[in-house]
Amino acid sequence: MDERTLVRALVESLLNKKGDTRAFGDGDSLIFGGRLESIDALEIAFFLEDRYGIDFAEIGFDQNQLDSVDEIVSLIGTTRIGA
Amino acid sequence: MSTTLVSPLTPKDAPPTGRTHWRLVPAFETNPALVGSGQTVPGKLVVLTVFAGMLHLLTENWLAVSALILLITFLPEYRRGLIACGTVYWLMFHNSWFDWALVRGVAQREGAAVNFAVVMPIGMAALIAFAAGFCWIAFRWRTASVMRRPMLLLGLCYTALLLGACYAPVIPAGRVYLWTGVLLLGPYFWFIGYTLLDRNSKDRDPLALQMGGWFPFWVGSAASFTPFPKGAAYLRRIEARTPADFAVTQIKGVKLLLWTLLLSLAIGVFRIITHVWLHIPPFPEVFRQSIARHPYPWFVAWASLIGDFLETMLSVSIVGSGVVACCRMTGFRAFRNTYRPFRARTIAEFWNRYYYYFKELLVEFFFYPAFARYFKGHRRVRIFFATLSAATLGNLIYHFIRDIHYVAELGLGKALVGFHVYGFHCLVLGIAIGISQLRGKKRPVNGNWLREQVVPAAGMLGFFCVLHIFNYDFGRTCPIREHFRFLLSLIGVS
Repeated sequence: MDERTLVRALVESLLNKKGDTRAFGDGDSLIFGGRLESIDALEIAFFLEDRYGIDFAEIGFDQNQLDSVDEIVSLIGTTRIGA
Repeated sequence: MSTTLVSPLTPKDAPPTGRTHWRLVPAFETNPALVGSGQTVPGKLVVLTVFAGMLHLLTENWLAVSALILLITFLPEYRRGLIACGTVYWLMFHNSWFDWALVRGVAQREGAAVNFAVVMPIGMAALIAFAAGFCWIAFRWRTASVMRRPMLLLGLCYTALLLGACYAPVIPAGRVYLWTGVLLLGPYFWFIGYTLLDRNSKDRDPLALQMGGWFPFWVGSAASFTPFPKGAAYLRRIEARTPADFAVTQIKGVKLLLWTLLLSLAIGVFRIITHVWLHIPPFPEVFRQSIARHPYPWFVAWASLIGDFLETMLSVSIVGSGVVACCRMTGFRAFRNTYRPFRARTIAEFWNRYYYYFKELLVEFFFYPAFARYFKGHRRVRIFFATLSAATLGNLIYHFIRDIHYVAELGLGKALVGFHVYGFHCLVLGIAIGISQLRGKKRPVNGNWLREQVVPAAGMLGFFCVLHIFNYDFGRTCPIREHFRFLLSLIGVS
């Protein structure tokens, strides 16, 4: 599975946990749009650390970078290029 | 620190589609005809007139605020620039947040002959030069080791300035200017911080535009140190991009101001009922009598405490709603500051719903940085520690800066010692939120309304109500044993 599919699956599971079964686009604002909570941002961070070895102490923790599927995928890509 | 973000604009508590749901303030923004009208010149004028009329009942600054909103409504393409103009105007003519009495007090104490007409302009010029220079260096050399943690450096600068104001061997006028610097930097501290947080954004605004959003007029009218609604990065995300979006946002602004008006009426009625009809004394009075060993009966103390807690909640909601309503009128789809706190079932959830932008400040400046750096191998410890960093340490730092006048009045040592009561408050709050967060929110399983809704809500509200005792430090001169004495008196222990 590619990154986008994995990220979408993660986001979908987080939304489902809240009983939110509405569709979402890759560019949709999830945290600032109110569909995901900040605690979910931590779940996303755990996922990125475990799966892609992203070090938030190094790059800084920025909610903006985790707000949509596109942005999360972009973050994965950026840190890969940096590595 | 709560991390349960609630969206006040897309409420999760909304009923399933198809069911009728009575609302005190109807959902006008879902009416296509109204949204359509809101995009026409007459429609905009009607919306603005209604808003200004309500604002008139709430604040004496209504005319200046309404005039700025009028300009932005008809020139939305210049929104950010107009907001910057509003910021400058507010700084020049509505700088009531600046503690003039304290500066005069320092001058008097030091015997300094100072021309007060130039104190503020010189202080502001110095602050702008410092803040702009600091941010520019932080942007330009963001990978330099000293600029890796710019908020820490900013905090050290503030501390150095404060120590200088307290102890530097300077001429009397110098001390007046140092205190002016402390009093000016404090309110801007978190605004500068949000600009620093934005330094890695690809679409970052120019520094001048960012500075134009420091203490915007909607915050200036409330004189709060909390940046509503956060910084430039958030504003970019929530800015209305289309006329329809702008109309919806403005209608939501009008709705929120109507809600603010209703809450203002409610608090007035509440005060009449509690203090006039029921003769319940104000909480500070009850507490003072407890210190003087002439305590009120336990039931009066309880009534006063609960009343004060509810009044504080209402006040926070009124101020926050008014500020956000004005912000929405300029075209930013900002979340409400207080959103249905009584629907919370856990301590973490209540904290999140009660004062959203303060919570967000603590999350962004303390929770996430601590989460990113410490206890990486231990998930639960990591979340708990990050929560303590925010709800305890961050909370303390915020209030220490906000109430810096105590340092001038009591001296740094006594002001710090006197802060132990609020320190205890923050420690208990941090631990409670941390535990609440780790436990999570239990989902209803068997539909027992009393057990699943009422009992958790009562426990949570009881906790915050009792903790409210330690929210009062009475000029930082009252030792914590008096608070515990009062607490014990509530359960009949003298």
